Amino acid sequence: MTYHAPYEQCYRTPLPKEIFRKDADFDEIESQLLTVMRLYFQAFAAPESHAWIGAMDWAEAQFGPTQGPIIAARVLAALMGVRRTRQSVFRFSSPTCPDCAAIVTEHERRFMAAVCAVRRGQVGAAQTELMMLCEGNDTGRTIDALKALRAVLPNVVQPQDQNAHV
Amino acid sequence: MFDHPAAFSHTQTPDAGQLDVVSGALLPIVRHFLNAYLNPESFGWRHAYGASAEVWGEARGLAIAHGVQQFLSAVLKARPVPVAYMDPLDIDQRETLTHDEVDLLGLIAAMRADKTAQARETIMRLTGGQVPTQLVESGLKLAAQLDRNPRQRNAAPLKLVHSSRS
Repeated sequence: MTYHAPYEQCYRTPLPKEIFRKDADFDEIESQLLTVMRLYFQAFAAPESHAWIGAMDWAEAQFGPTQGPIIAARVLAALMGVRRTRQSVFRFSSPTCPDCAAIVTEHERRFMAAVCAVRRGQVGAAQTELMMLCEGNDTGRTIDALKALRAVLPNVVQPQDQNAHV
Repeated sequence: MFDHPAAFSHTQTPDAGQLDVVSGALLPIVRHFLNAYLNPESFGWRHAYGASAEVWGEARGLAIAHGVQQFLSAVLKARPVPVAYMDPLDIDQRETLTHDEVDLLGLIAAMRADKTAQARETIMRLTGGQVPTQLVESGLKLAAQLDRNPRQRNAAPLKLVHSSRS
C-alpha cells in the first residue's frame, strides 16, 4: 500500500509489473472507476482519511446524482469480493498523490483488466485476471459484482478501426 | 419526526408514535454515518449505505444516503462540538434518542414540511447560533429526496436520554 497525505508529491517511479496510467488502455469511464476504487482502498487502509466520502463524491460528479452512488456501491461490492478472497496485501496507488496516481500497480492493473474484460463481455478473461489477483481462491462473487457493475455503466465505445467490415 | 421539535423540551420524553416513518428510517442511517465520522475504524458508512438501500431500494436509497452524508458533513463542519448519538449496533439503544439526534431528525422533518422558522431555529441550536449556507443547501436537497407527508410509524415509544458520545 502506498498512502500519502493529500497534495504531497513523492516523485515515485514505476516498479516492475507497474505501468503508467497513460499507457493503460482505459477509456474515460474506466479511468474514473480506477479513481473511485483507489479512494475506497485509501478508506480501508487509512480510515481516518474518510476517503469513502471522496469515492462517493467523485462518482456522483462523474456519473450524476442517481447513477453515481449506484456505480460507487457496485465498485465497492466488487472490491469487497476481492478483499474477502485475496489473502495478501492489495497494493494500490494513492489517488491524492499526483505522482502515485499516475502509476497503475500490478494489483490495480489486474483488477482493472477484469473490469474492462467484463465490460466487453469477455468473462473468461476477467476470471483469469481475478484468479491471479485472488491467489487461486473463489472469484464467483467478484465476477457477479462486476457483471452488476457493467449493467449500470455506459456502453463501451469501440474505436472506428475496430468496427467489423463487410 | 416531531411536529414541533423547537417547542419540545429537552427534559421531556417524546410520546409514542411521534416519530414518522421517514424519520424512523433515517435514524439508523444517521447513526451509522455519525459512527463512521467520529469512529472511522467502525466503517459505519458501509452499514449506512446498505441500510438506506434496504429501505428505499438501490437507486433511491443510495442517493438518499449520499444526501444524508452531505447533510451530516455540513452539520459537523459547523458545530464546535461532536454530535451525541447512540450506538447503531446496540439493540438496547435502538429506541433511545439523544438531544442531538432529535434536532437532526427534527431539522430534516421541518425542511420536508417547509417549516422555515422551525428549521432555522433548529439549525441555530445545532450549530451554536450560525446558519451555514452549506448546511441549508444540503438539508433542503435531502428533504427534497424524501417523502413530504409520511405515515406515522408503528413502533415502540422512543426514550430521550442525556447520553453523550464522542
